[in-house]
Amino acid sequence: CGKFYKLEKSTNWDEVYTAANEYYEKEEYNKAIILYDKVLPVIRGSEKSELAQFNYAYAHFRLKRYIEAASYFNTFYESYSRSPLAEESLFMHAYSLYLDAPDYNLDQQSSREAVSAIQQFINRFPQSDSYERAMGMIDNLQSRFEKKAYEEASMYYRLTEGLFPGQFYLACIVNFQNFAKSYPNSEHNEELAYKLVEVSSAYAERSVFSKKEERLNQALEFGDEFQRKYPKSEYNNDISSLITQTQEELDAHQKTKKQYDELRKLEQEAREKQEQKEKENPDLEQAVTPETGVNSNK
Amino acid sequence: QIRLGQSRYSAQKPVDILELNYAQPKKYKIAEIKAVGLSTLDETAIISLSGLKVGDEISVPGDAISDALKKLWQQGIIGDVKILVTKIEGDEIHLLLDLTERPRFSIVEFTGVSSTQESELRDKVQIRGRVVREDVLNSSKRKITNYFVEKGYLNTEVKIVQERDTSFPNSVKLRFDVDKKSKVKINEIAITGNEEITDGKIKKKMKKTNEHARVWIFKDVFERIKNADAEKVGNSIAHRNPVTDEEVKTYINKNFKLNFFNSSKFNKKEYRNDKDNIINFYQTKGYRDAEILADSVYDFDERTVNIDIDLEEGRKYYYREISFTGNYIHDDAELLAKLGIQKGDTYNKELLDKRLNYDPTKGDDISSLYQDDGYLFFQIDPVEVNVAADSIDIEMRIFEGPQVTVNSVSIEGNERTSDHVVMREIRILPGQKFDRSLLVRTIRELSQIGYFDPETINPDLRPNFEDATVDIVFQLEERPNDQIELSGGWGGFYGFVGTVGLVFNNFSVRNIGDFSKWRPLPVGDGQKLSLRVQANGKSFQNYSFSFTEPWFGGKKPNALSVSLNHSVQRQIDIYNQSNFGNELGFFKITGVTVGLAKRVTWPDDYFSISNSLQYQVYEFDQYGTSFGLSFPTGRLKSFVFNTTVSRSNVDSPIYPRMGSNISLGVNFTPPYASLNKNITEDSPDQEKYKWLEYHKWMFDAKFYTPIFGSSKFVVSARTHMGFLGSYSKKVGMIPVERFVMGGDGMTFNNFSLGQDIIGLRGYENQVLTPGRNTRGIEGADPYGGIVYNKYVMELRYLVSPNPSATIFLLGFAEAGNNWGDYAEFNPYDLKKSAGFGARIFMPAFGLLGIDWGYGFDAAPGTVQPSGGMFHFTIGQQFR
Repeated sequence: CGKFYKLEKSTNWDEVYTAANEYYEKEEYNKAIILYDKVLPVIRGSEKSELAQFNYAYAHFRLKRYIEAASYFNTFYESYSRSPLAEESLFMHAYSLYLDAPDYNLDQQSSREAVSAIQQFINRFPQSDSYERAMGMIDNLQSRFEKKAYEEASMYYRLTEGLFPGQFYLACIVNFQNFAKSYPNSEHNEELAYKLVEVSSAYAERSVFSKKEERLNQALEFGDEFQRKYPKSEYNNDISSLITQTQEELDAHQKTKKQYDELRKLEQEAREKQEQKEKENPDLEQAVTPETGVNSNK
Repeated sequence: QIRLGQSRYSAQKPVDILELNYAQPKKYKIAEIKAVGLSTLDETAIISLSGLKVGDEISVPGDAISDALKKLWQQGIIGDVKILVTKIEGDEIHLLLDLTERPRFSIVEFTGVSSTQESELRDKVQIRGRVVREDVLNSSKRKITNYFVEKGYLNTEVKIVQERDTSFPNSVKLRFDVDKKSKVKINEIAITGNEEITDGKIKKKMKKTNEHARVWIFKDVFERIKNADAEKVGNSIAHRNPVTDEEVKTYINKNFKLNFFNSSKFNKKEYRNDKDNIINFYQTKGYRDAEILADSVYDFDERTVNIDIDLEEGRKYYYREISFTGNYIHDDAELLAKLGIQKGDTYNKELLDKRLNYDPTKGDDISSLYQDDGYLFFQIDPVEVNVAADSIDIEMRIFEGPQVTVNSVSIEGNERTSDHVVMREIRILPGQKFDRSLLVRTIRELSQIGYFDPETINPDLRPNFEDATVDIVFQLEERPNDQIELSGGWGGFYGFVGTVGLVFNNFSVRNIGDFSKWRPLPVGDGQKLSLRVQANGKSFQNYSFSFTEPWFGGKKPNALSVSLNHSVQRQIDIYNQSNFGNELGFFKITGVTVGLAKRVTWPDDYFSISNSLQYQVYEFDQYGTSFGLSFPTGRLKSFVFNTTVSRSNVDSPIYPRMGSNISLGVNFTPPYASLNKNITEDSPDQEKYKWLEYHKWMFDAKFYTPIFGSSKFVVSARTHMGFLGSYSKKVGMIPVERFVMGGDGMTFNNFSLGQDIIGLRGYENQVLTPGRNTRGIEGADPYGGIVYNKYVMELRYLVSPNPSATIFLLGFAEAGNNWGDYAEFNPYDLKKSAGFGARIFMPAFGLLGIDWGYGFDAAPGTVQPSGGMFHFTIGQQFR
């Protein structure tokens, strides 16, 4: 320990540099980092600098300080882009970011950074031995994004049974369609397409009279689309009965609407007749008024 | 020699012997790269840093060479560099890096600064390893000076000392000698040119630029006396000059400045802001043209500066005609009514902007008319179409735009908390029309769950004009909100006194098994886990555990909670010298509670209902009589059902500014004894109370209103009352679960089990409790009241809204009383008190408080008023 303390105070840079490398080899990364911190600015531009910077980044990586490691590997790559270690450093930059990327249910900002770092590596070193590994990392991150989106969709679906069903039916309809657009190859698409029919018809059934027809039609459209896309689906029976049910609802609605419209029409006609009558003999109006007055008194 | 290249510092121009055809760069293969002019630097390393390599194909002229130069310069380790072409053979090119080395800084030291300042300065001034250059030194010096100037050390001087470093070739030791001098404070601010608004008011608007605290009146009086001559004294005695109010004010202003809370540090940036504040203030008063003509800051003495500000107020303006154009959905009359500004009102740009765009106190501005209904792109632009004399005509140019639908809602910045925990609280949903009021409510509710810094919650709206949709991203910043409570001490004969409490507000049971997700505990699912041990030596111990899942089942916000509780109170013999600390008896309560709290949407969605079941055992050992029981040793049990209806719409849990919190709760047990024919009025207590039967009603209401038009002053009014009842005469009022009143209201300080503790500041703990003076005497009334009332009025002032330490001051007046019999109950017979106090909230420790209260009335059994006393509190006091 006394030796390390002396090194920390030393200005004999050669000694510090050698000791830093020794600590690094001995896997005492914390001590190595402290000494590298001291010596790196001074030896910059010398032949020692390249390996020292590379070790410095690796020391952080070994201590699982991935964010720092990613940044130091990147600095190394930018300074020594033609070094034999450049490929490894760019890969390690991406790999550090990848390891630092959080679980699907947390903010994915750093996962997206990792994806673009991996992309950069793949573009720069398409012949690399680590190519497959890098592709695997991208796939893994992409599936995290997909899982996140699927869990969000599931949450909206779950909350349709909560306190504000109507609002969440609508949220599902918009959200499920967005999911299909963002992840066209997802295995969840069939399930969500089925649920889309389910929620859209439930939503339509709860709608106010004036908006019911449009929404029932939308639900039927989703139903047709499902049957076209997944003709052999295990959900097919359920879908068929949902469609029948919605169709029945639509028929009933249209019938009611027709009756309502007819009634309105009759009313309208009666009113027009009345108006015409009044127009024809304006004197009549005065004659009628006292009569109604009597009626209302009764 | 053929040269091609550039140099930053040499006056020499590169001589181009090669015909450089910029229109048609030629490609060459690098056959050789060499570097010259190196002494400490390494050739291979430098070539490697240049990014050029033998075998590369480069175009000349082209990017490769300029990139190489850039990369070498970036390292900051060379004095100069040129890239020369030494030979061209066919398509092969030979390059030479001609470098000049300069000394570099190997060691950088600071003197005259503290170690924290040094480490901050090291981050700002990163020049170790760089070449010695005048501009680098100057910019470092500037950075250091600015660093201290921002801290109020205006006269900071930095001296640079350079010295050869003999331990390493070509290197220099560098030392910054910093002399901060003393902090510069503001002595006096002199304002001229203001006729309508007083100096005092203007100075108040300067939030961060304040005069030094001073009390000069003694000095002034002393000097007047010293300078007085007989004739003058005679004069002033003979005819006392009439003094106007204004003169008195000016005098006071000059000689008193009691702003001990404000720092009088001079900070340039803040001073600039404060000048804007003055102009803004004038503009709110109708002085549209107000401006600062000149201002100067000059040294008064070594430690202080004076500030002179010369203003021109201009004239005061009023509104004349207010007209609207571009509005199709809402007509002029409706908009004018919403605006709330009329012809003839004082012109006030700030108020106008508020009423047009966003009025945080009311939320019913003109924009809300549109933006609560989907018109996200709504814009209103007030244009002064005519300014004549003191009148201004304003035309409101409106763009309504399309109705926008929400396409997606997401969150960013949740580094610990799971998506669903946040997303389920969001009110604004995909598919809905955009609604600003829902957005505002969501922000409020997200700040209430406590996982995020309320000051930085930011809804980022990403609109898409083409299909009239918007993506909403809530940007959040996590903040720690687990609480650790640790307090301890040695309390005389009580022995050790202490509390260990841990509250995890964002626990995750699901992640317990997965160590990789511990940060440092399983977090992120929004569950609450709390563990607490309180002990006061032998005499009082409490152990509790509780767990709450706020969304039990995941579909509705139904909070399921389970809690276990065990408390012991022991009577210790403190008079027996030979056997000190001998236990004379104990009282234990052990209970388990399961509860379910539901949020409901009717009558409105601020309501919630909670139900719980509790099983509790009361155990007495030589202790029963002090509760008024007829037996000293025995055991009671109870099975209690609780229902509480409450409504809460307070805007913030720590420092509520608006809203109310009302709750009515009832506890009741099955009527065991009343139904049991064997029990009569004369049955012994053991039988009567074997299973306790009672019903208890508790009502609490709290209201918060901001006053003085500021968000810092808040009035809080509270009322609390409670009633204990029995089902039948033959059982009567139970001796436990009664009310004790007085003091700080903290359970821990009262050592009072099986009772409801009601605080009343200005009185000793528990003094307002019936039966207190006859406690323990056989046959006396039971200890504790069966009905109480309490009213509290508080004026609060927020000193620091900083979420890591929220501090507020309060002044209070309260009154309450506690009765042992309904016949004595008189809601006008209250014990009154008043006082003041302070609270500090720190996320790790919860709420800590101190109050000083003065009790105006005498406690029962005394004749003197209770008088003044201090109370300390830990945690939120509920009643």
